[in-house]
Amino acid sequence: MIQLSDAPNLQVQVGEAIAVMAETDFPLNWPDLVNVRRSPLITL
Amino acid sequence: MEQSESDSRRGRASVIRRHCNCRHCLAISVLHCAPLGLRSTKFRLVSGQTASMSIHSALQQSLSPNPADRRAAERELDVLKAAPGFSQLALQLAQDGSTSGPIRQAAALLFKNYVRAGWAIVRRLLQEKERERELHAKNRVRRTMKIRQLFQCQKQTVQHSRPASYPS
Repeated sequence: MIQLSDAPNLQVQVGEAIAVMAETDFPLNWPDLVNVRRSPLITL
Repeated sequence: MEQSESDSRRGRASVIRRHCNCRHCLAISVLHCAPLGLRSTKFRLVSGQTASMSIHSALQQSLSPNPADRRAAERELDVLKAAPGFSQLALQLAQDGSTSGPIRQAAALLFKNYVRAGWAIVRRLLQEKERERELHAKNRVRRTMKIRQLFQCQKQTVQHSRPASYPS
């Protein structure tokens, strides 16, 4: 669970990291990325 | 990914149990384990608190105005980067509300740079694999074409020469 709702400047950094992962891995190696993004487990 | 109850009750740094070897689990706690499936190599980062403390102190030192301290901290962080679960701990530190703002920011940056560097290697390996696969496919097609041509030649030879000069 990633909770960074209190720190917008940190959201940017972590968001960029997730974007890097998604760019490489989606869709082949990360097929459920869309579900993950919609789930409440990540509250960026 | 689980957090042990006793530790969360005590308010200590969490002990992380990673259920698979996938790099997503390594990097961002929840996401998924699907690509590699659940593996038998369950991993438990029992020294989570110690490692977290080390990252915390190294980050604190990296913000020091003294260049020698900063260099020492960078060297320490380079060593810590090789430890399993490093990215998880960096991310946890970034999320930790009790940690000071500059350290959280530094931890988030550390996490991002770690992911960038790691995923660049993964991307390069994937590209190499893809190129290799294409090359194999091309070679296979070329071989098939050659075999087909050979069969055609043989067929024509047989049709024209049999039985006079090609009795068998």
